[in-house]
Amino acid sequence: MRYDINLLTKEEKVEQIQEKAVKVSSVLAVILLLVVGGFSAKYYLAASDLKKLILSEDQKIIASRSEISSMKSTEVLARNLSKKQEVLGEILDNRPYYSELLSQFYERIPSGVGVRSFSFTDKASITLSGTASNYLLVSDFLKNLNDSEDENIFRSATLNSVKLNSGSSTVDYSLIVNFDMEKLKNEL
Amino acid sequence: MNSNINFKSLNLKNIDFKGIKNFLLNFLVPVISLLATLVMWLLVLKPSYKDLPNLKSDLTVKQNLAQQLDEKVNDLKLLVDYKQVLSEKSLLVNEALISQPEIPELLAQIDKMVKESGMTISQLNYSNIEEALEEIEYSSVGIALGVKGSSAQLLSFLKIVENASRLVLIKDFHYSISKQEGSSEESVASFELFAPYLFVTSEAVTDESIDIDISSSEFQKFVDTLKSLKHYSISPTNLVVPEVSESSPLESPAPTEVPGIPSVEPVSLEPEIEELEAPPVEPALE
Repeated sequence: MRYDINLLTKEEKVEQIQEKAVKVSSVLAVILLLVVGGFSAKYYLAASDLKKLILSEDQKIIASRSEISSMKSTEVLARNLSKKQEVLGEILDNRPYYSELLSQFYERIPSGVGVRSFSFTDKASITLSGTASNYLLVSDFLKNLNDSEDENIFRSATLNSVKLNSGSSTVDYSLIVNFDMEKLKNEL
Repeated sequence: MNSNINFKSLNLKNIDFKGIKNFLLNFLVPVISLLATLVMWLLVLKPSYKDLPNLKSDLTVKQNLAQQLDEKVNDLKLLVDYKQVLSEKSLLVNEALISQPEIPELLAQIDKMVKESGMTISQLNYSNIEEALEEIEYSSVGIALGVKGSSAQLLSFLKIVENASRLVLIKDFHYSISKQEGSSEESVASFELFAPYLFVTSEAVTDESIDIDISSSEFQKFVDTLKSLKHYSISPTNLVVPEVSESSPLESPAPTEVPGIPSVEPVSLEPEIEELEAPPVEPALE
């Protein structure tokens, strides 16, 4: 069996421990210093690079701004045009084309039916009155206005009143016609 | 309170200064290293690390702005190259949506349109100016018009108005057809028209991009639409001196001036346009 017998004095032992502590702490402190130094350098360089890039972008911005200022009159012209285009586009898109309404309306009047008056009662309905030769023609007129064709802008037509003129044996009628306002838009 | 320190009581003689000195000498390297680490941490690492996110976002903002400005410069260069075209398009747009009410010119244009349709005017007057409100982006001139003619002429008139380069919109209309003995069928119609106008004063805003792209198909389509509209040029001799109506814009024209018009209360077809009181008429228009 082997035994280690330490014959050092107590003071020498303390000195040994102290030396070890100095060595270990020195190594650790230097390692820590190197690590922190490395990270510091890394972040410092990254920040410095970013600052350089920002400076270069600032210079680009200044140059562009000065170039833009030299074309001020064109910019104002373009902005005015843009604003008017926007408003005009909106007006043209929402403008109702009443010629289409009247055109389709005329097409649906059967021969023998006369229209005396035509007026709007609200945004999407018309009240009209007139005279027809007989009741059947009024019915035909209603059918024509109520047909389910896709192009038909009239949604519904209802008979408001009808009366026989005994003297002339004609029929006076009054209708309320609803139409699709959306179909009157965007004709151009 | 006695603030005097009794140094004798501290018994400084008992402190082992030699031991401390030895300790510091032995641990000189670690102590200096730790101090250097601390200084580096506080003066370099911490501020740099803290600044990085701000610098990154700052850079992104600046890069975006630089790119936006670069695009704007390119757009403006293109517009400068095509300034002639831009001016022509502006003229076209200004014909449709003029900057000032130009009431005499408007009345003369409507007069021309009515004549072109073959109808005759029984009443033509300017009723009011509606100033632009927040929800309406443009101002408009109100016109009351009474016309006589056949049904076909009435249809033709509507098409002419719809295809005129200066925008004239129909707010309300009603008509009646009468057949008098020995004469052909005649339509008598009354219209409430309004002509929009818009005065635009834009400013050059350096950092904001320009929305218009004159080379886009959308813009071309828009220009084509305007080109298809007919311009009614008015010389000073054609001007009509406007009659100023006392009526509000939503009242129908006086029935006595348009015989045969049914007395149906007209209803506004454009509810989004709010009623305004007629502004005082400028003396030049009277």
